[in-house]
Formats: sequence, C-alpha cells, structure tokens
Amino acid sequence: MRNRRSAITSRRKLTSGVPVAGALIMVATILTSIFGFAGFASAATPTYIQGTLVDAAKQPLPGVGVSATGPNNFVGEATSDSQGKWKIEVPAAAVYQVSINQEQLPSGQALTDPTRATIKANVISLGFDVTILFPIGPGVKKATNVERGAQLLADGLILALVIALAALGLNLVFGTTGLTNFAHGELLTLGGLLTYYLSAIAGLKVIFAIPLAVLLSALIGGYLQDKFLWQPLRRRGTGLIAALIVSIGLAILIRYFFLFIFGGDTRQLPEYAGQAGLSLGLVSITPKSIITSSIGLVMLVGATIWLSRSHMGKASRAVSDNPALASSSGIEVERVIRAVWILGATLASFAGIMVTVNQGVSFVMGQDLLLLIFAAVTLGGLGTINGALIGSLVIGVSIQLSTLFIPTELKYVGALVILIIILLVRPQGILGKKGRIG
Amino acid sequence: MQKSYKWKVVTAFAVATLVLAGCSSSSDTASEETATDTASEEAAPASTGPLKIGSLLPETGNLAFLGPPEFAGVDLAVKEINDAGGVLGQPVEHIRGDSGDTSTDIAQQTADSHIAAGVGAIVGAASSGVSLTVIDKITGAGIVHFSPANTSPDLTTYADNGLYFRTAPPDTFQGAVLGQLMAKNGATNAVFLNLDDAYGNGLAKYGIAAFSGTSTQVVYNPQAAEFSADVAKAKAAKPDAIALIGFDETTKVLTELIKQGIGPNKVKTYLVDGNLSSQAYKDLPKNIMKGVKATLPGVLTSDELKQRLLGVDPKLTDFSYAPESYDAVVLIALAAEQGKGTDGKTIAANLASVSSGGTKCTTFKECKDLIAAGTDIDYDGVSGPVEFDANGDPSVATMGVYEYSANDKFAPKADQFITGAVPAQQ
Repeated sequence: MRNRRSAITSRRKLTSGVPVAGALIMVATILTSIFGFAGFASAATPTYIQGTLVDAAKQPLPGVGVSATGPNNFVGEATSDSQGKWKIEVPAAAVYQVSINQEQLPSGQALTDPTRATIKANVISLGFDVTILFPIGPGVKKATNVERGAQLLADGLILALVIALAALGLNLVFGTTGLTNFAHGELLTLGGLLTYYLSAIAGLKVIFAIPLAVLLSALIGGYLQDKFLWQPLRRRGTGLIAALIVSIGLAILIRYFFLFIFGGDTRQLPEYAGQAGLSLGLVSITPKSIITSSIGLVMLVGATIWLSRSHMGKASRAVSDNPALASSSGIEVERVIRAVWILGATLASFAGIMVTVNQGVSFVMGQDLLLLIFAAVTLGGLGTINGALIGSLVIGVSIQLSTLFIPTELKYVGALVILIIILLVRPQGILGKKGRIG
Repeated sequence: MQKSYKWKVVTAFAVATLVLAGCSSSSDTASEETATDTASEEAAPASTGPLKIGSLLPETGNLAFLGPPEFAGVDLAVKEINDAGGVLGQPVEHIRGDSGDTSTDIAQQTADSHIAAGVGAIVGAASSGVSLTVIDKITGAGIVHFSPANTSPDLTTYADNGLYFRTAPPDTFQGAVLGQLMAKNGATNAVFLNLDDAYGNGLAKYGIAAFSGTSTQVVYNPQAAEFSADVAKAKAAKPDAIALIGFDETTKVLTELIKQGIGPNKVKTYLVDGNLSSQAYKDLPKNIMKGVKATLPGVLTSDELKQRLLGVDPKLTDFSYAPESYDAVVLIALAAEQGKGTDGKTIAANLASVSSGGTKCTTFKECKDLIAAGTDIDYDGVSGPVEFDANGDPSVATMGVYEYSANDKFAPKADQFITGAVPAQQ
C-alpha cells in the first residue's frame, strides 16, 4: 500500500507543475496553426453559430437578441425569428463568446441556469456550424430517489441472488475442508462460457444449453476438480495456506486459459440479448431476468432445504463442525466433500449463467464478482449456510441502494464499509459462531 | 484451538491477497525510477544499429478489438519501409507485444522485455490508462513512447523528457466535436456515461464543456459486475441524448440501457472511438444500433489503404487507428533516417522536424529520397497532416462522424470530416 500511495503523489506532482507552461505553449501553437491554416479556411463555406430559443413547452420565443464576440474585435448580433431560430455568421475558426439578452425574454421566462447567459462557442473548422442552446424554463425534473430506489432495490435483489448462489458453494467448501477457494469465481465463468459455446457455437436453443451447461459444470468444476486436484492434495496432507495458494494459481491459470480460447471481448448469447424490460410500476425488469431469477431462487431454496433436511446435508454440517468426530461416527467424509463440491459448482455455474443471459459473457466475469462473493461470505459468517445468504442480501442490496448517496463509480465502497462496520461489531460475521474464529 | 488459529491466518491472508490484487495494477510507477535510471545510462548515444520497434498494443483485455487494425498498421508500415530499403540501410525489426488493459499487468512485462531487447521506440498503448502506467518506465529508459490511439488530455503535459508522441489528437478535440454534434442534432438534456479512467473522464469533461444544454455525468467502474445502478442514475436525469464513453464493457451497458427503457431505439445514443465497433453489438436486437452516431479521430480510411492493410491481415473487419499506427511507424523510421541514429533520443529529436515545415511527401520512400538529397521534409500521413506541437501532440487533427446503418455496420456521414486546430485544455 505504501508503494501505491507514493506512486499517486509522485504522479500528481509531475502533472501539477507543468500545466501552466504547457498551456502557454499549447496556446502559442494553436495560434500559429490557425494562421497557418487561414489559406484553406477562407475558401470554406459560410459558417454560423446558431440556435433555437424555445420555452419549457417547446414553444418558440421570438424577438430575443443574441450576440457573439470573438478575436479581431469581431461582434455579431442576431434576433430570434418567429420559430425561435437565430444565427450569426462568423469569419474564422476560433473561440467566440455567445450571450443572450435575458431582458428580452418574455415575462415569466428565464434561463434554467442564469449563470449561463454567456457561453463559449468553439468553432473548430469553417463549415462545421456550432449550435448553442440556452435552456429556458425550470429544466427537466429528475426522477425522485423513491423512483430510482425501487429500480435499485429490484436490481439489488437480483445481484444478491447471483452472489448468494456463488457464496453458498464457497462457504460449504470452506466449512467442510477449510479451503478458501480463490478459483471459485472461475466456476461462474465456466457456466457462462459453456452456455455460450453450447448455444452460439453448437447451435442449441439457449433453454436447452443452460441445463446442459449446469450439468457439465457440475461434472468438470465439481466432480473432476475435486477428484483430480483437491482430494489428492488433502490425502497428502497439504496445509491450508498451501492449498489457498494453489487455488490462486489455479484461478489465474483457468482465467487465462479462458482468455486463450474465448478471447478478451464480451459476447452475447444468440437469443434474448438486449431484451427490453417490462415496466412494472417503478421498476423495469426483463422477462429473461424474471425467469432466471426464479430458477435461481428455487435452486437456492432447494439447496438450503437439502442441506438442513437430507441425510447427506446433515452429514455435511457434521463434517464442518468436526471432521474427525464425523469420521469416527461413521460418516464418509470424502463422499460428503465430493457432494459439497458438486453442489457448489452447480449453484456457481447457474450464477454465472444468470449474468451471461442478462448482460453477456466475458472471461473475467467470475473475477469481477469474486470480491463481492468473499465479502458476502465474510459478512454472513465463514462456514455457515444461512450466513452466506444473509451476507449476500446485505452486500447486493447495499451496493445498489448506496448509489443514491455516493457516486456510482464508488458503488462497491458503500458495501465494503458496511462489511467493515459489521465485522468491527461482530468479528465472527452476522451468523458466525463466536468460538469458530476467535 | 490449533485449528481456529489456522483459520484466522487463512482469513487474514485471503484479505491481504485481495487487497494486493486490487493494488497491483497501479503500484508500479514508484519502483520504476531506479530500474530505468541504469537503463538510460547504458543506452549508447546515436546508435546506428538496425531500427527496432516494439509494439505495445492490445491483444487481450477490454480494448482487444482495437488490436488487429493497429497491429496491421504497424506490420504494413514495417513491410513497406523494408521494401524501400529499410532505415540506414538495414531492415526494421518489429517486436510484437501485448498491452493487456489496466486490470492486468501485461503492459509492464511487455515494456520490460522491449527495453531489454534494446528497441528505439515503442508503439502503443491503445488505452491512455495503460500508457500512463508505463510512460515513466519507457521514457525513463530513453526510448520514444509513441501512441497511435491515446487521446487522454492528461498525457499532453505529462513530464516525459520530450519522448512521448502520439498521432491521435487529445480529447479536447473529440470532446468538442461530440458535444457540438449532440447539440446540433437537437439534444437539450444529455447524459455522459463514462468509464472511470484517464480517457473516460477526460473525454466526458470536454464533451460536457462543449455541450451547451443541460448535462449530467455518470461515471462507472468498468470492472463492476453489472451496471444497473449506473444506468438507473442516467435514467433519473430523463435524457434526450446519451453519450457512451467506454471500451468493451459498452455492450453490457447497452443491454442495461435497453432493459431500463432508454436504449438506442428510445434515446439518441452516441459512441466514441473507444467503443465504435462492428463486431461488439451484432447480437443485440436487430437494427437497434441503427442511427447511433460515433466520433473517431482520423481522416476517412481510403479503400486503397484498406486493401493494403487486408494484405497484411486478411481477417480485419474494423480499421480504427490502423492509419495512425501506420503513420507512427513511418514517422519513427523517417526521424531515425534523418537523425542518422536508431536510438530513442535521436528519433525524438527529429520527429517534430520530419512532421512539419519543408517539402511535403506522403510515402516513406519519397520522404527518404528527399532526406538523402538533404531536403527538409514534411510527412503528411494516411491519418491526416500530422504536425507535432511542443508536447508531442498533433496540433491539427481531423475528426470523423460515423453513423450505424445496422448493428454490425457503420459508415462515415457525408462530408462529416472536421479538420481544425486542437483546442487547448481548460
């Protein structure tokens, strides 16, 4: 972190010292180039600064004076005609100051922003007219926070569902084996890419490609991955930190393998891409999103019920509590772990498919979500099933709703601040057991 | 307790790794100076060996779609220079290199390997953000850093030892054309939706400055998992025009715009050089891109040049920045030829001279013959007149306005090539 800070300050120093000199040189060069190009400039067509004055109801405002001043003591004037139009011919490519005579506006009409009665018009090239607007009237009323909040809440719930599907598997693997799997994001990408290849390349209908992609992901990302990588590592007694590093290496390897075969761009599925949203009251939501979210929700609820009711589910919780005790009481620990991997890969691949169907697939898709998945798991409580769900809900919804108050480019910050605050109060996470971490 | 201690360590480590991963892309500038100082001492003055040009162009990452035309431009220029006898009697060597994007560290490695190979000039990167991560390293090593596509105004006044050049005009120019174009088309209430980097923020700033109606800026993180909140904020402004300033993620932003009912079929939409593509939007609903306009620096690429480029790479579909890349290489070669040296310092010292003032010439062979005869030359390239100012920026540039006729087709609008002086920064 120290490196980073010094890099930023040094860059700021570099840029802040030079601009004055740079700007002077720049102005000088521009002046020379303008005169240098006067030759072809004079031959060009007449050039205008122009505009149309209308009120808030788009009705023209005639008889209002507009003036322009420019280099070489240029002064041009015009009055808006019956359609509100005005235009001023200018002699050369240069920067002009264009002013509206506010006193000539009809009573009851005023500029939206009274400070913008004079506007700079940069005529770049003769022949390229410049349109100058003087917005008049109260201006467009922006949507209220309630209107925006409804949309954000709906999208927050969908994002939460994607995170939850991925987080559940990550948490189960962590609970049963202690592995913090940094390659979990690649399971999402695998699901998305398989759907793309099965539909766009192999020509299957998307609705058939999706279940097939989920099955293949469960086989490759769950069964085979555990059988040929993680089980041998466990048998050899590889430490948790070593396994963590393996997972980071694996994530990078898989990501760049995807890049190699798929390429660096974002691609859309052949069907349902760019579907228009249905307007449901304050919320726009696409039919494809309703359907994939419903399926995702059913999968999530099904997985939770399976974990709490079925024999295998109970066994997996026994293994997370105490593998040695579970083993000695007759539970086949390795079989339970394999089942957990398959379940995790199934859910994660569907999370990736949800993203793919809704906005397209790229090779970094899983990586983009990984931070949020980890945040959700840590927030809810490492190793707990319901914790992952609650953590996902908090992260997903707070990311979206926080943009009502903070700039959109910082939307992850709000969610991560909430994460830090909750962990300060409850270091074990919302549902984590105290003894487990401390 | 042994086990719970381990978990604690694992968690701490996990968090540390994520933090480190987040920092890695921007943490490199500080440590470079020591490395590059030694390199510049080793660089012998006025080296006369074969001219080596390293490319630092996007084969991967969110600008990968710009890679093929740019590589083709470089390859074509190198081929034609070598056909004309090379530089200082020796063939020019092109060392290919990937720039990745700002989320990967590839540009650093590529720059290191180019510096180690002793190149005189590096052509790249496409993204201004990427160039800013390697400019200290490259210019510190005394090598010319020549970008065919950087448009960020931040690079104009960057302390580069006089070694940074570009054939693409800074976005003070594209921003002015974009903002004026939107007003001219009748927009009164515009949203500028831009990615959060040097390029996006710079172009949006000058676009907003030139647009005289009401404008709202929405900035998004291009690595976000989805863009619904960003688009919801844009929608709240109830715009009658939207300028999308971004790279490859524009496809995702567009699907979100369509979802929330403010897609290109409902609101006038404008693209820029970073996302003008014939491939990226082809799977969106049929003809939804029809009528979308875009700005792209550079004169119209002639059919004749397109054929020559296709001869180098028959799979080309777009030609964005191919002429600029071609001109970059030709200018570097001419500067080396005129200065009688293939090292960075000699090339940099002669670039302004070969680009302006003197007898005009338009091909490498023609210019080289003039140099051999002792004439001062003024190379006018396939991308425009190319005249460098004191900052290594073009002082005069051409901007083209294009319009989509279908999702995968765009063409220049008739007589919409605007040539003028590049406006100063504000």
